[in-house]
Amino acid sequence: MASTALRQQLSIMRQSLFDEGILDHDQVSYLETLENEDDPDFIENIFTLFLRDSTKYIDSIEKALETTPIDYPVMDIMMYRLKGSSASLGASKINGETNTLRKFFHDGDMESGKASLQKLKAEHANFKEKLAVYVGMLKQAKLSEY
Amino acid sequence: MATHINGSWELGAKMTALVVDDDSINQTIHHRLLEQLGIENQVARNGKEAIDIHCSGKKFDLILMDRDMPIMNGIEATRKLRAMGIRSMIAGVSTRCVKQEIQEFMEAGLDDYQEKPLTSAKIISILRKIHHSGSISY
Repeated sequence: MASTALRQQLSIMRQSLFDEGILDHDQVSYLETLENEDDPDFIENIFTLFLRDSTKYIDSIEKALETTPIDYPVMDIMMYRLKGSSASLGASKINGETNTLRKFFHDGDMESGKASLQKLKAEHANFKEKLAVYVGMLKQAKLSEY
Repeated sequence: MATHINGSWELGAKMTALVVDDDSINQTIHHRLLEQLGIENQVARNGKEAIDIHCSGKKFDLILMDRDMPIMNGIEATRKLRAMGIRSMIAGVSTRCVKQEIQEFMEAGLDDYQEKPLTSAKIISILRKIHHSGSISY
């Protein structure tokens, strides 16, 4: 059983992710119900997958924007992937920023789009830092149960 | 046939589903979600893979079709599956919420459309349509 102190830390960290609007409480709580003894690392795995894939999507959006001419089809696909996966994970702020980004580019407002991309990158960096800590604590808690 | 009895699904034969989505997060979540509902399922990464799986002879009771995918998108894949005579329940799953875009997807041959994020409740609402149609389609 994970130590009381570790479990408390985990609980506080989890709540702070909700309070800061980084993760959606309802969606994450729902995803947690999908974890069981058949798939005990489900939550850790999807968080880790999202940390990896969201980075790739944002990098691809940036590269597509830097090509001449701008690679709109790639940008579109990456923005939809990021929108879809962030919605499924409950990554609220990233989902919100992605929607804003898409709107600017679809409206042809490139300047606002580029500024919005910087905002998304900053939000993503914050998300990665905090979620990496949380996933680390989840792993630690599981290890201490053995 | 899927029968809803006393709040749970009784499956005469085990139901099968195909998750068609290019994003690994959605693949993982939708696969797990279906598994938890007792639905045997596999994943295709895009519309072309979905077509290829059907060409190999496999059939499914339910297909969860993402709209935006590389190589072959969900609209094209749905049209092709219907042209191949596939009568499985096909539910479009996407983050698109503009009426015209949803309409375009529905007109490709969907039986239902659900906005992401997908939940057990949304899948059960799709399963009820299979129940009410009285058959599992192949």
